[in-house]
Amino acid sequence: MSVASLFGFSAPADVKIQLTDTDEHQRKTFEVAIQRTQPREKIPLYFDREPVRGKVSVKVGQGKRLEHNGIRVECVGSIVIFNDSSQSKEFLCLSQELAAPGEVLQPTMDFEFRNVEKQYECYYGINVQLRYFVRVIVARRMGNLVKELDILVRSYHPPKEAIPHSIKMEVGIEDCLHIEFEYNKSTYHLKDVIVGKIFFLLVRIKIKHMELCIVRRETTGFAPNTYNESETVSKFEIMDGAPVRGEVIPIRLFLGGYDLTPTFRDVNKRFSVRYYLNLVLYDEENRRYYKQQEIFLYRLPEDDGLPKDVEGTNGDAD
Amino acid sequence: MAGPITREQTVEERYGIPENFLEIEVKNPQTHGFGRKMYTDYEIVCRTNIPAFKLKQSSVRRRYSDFEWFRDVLEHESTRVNIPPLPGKVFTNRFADEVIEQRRDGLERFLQIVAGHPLLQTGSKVLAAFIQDPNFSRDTYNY
Repeated sequence: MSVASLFGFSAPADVKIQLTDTDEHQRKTFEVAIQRTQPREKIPLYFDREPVRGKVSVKVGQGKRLEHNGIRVECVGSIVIFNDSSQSKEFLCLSQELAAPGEVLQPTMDFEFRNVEKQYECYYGINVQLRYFVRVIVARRMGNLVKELDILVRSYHPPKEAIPHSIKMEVGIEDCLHIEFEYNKSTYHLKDVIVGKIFFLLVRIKIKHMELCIVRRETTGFAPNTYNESETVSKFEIMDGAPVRGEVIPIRLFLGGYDLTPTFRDVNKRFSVRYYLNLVLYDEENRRYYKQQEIFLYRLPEDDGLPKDVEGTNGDAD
Repeated sequence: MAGPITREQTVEERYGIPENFLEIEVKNPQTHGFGRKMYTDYEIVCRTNIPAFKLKQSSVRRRYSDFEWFRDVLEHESTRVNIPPLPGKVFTNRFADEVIEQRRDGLERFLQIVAGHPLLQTGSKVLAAFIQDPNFSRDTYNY
């Protein structure tokens, strides 16, 4: 907010960024809430090495003039850590000068960034935000005019685990509650289904109900000063009532209905986002018995309605 | 994932008495003695098939101060478990019917929460003795 607008003066100029090549048929858009408190916006999807092209318009009011110290446009990739800004970083910043210092002469100016590296997926989390955006800066003595426009980047890398395997484990409290849980895979894509079952081996407590939760955990910082933010993405009651020995409860959980992202490990060495299945049982006095198990999520091009080989076909036709 | 379930539930498992059967009642308040030595005690009835309790059925009598002592021992035995509060102390009118009934209800609630707690069932030395042992006495109990 510039000093001028603090005193009630209207903005000296209207700065707009418009991307070209964002026709509906050329480029997919997705609805994303960049700030959690704001409504979702439609953001266009760009691939690694694709150019980012557009126009910047600086409209000055009728009869008014705008003097400036230079106009430049930037293509930025940034990680913001909200609880510790010293950990934030603009890991990508390509810059192009649009106008030399003077008066605003041309109402619109074209820009083009070629071969833009987009190696990370955008993430809009609780304590962490990774964004790609185009930023226009009109430099002025009494405060710069800055305008930003987000673009969306997603990663479709398949998971590294070579052999898919199921998760099967026996857990419990000695002499009190023993269960065996099984999930069909350890790695799931974002529109996958978790198929599994819970087998009760020993039930000496009075269980009221059981639920399965998907938990997201964001981690920032380095040991021993790591900072975690956990969020229950969804809760799913899978059993109501008291089971006995020998009972089997099936699990069928469709991931597509929830706001999930791929598992992120050490992005730019600054943050991780991991997902866990939390199996929780409640007894009649509301005591909780739980077992958390990490699952690895990844994004398939098909999850976003794209063809399978989408990653190989991008880059500048130079 | 593996196809058919390999362990079938037996008929006994499916329809028999579950392994978590535990019923605790605090009932039959009775007032004893005269004058300053008057006191009320309550019957604790326990029916269970949980192995942590040695007897399948039991009936003992305990008074309020026994519960206070018991709660104190439980707190010392375990750092991890939150022990619920007892119904409050009463200074006037403690032999009136409504007061005794309120206290009986509170003691029953207390015992149900405590007896059903899995960590206390397996970890406490005093729990089963207080609830079931007719020969139990505060003086002779060493913990």
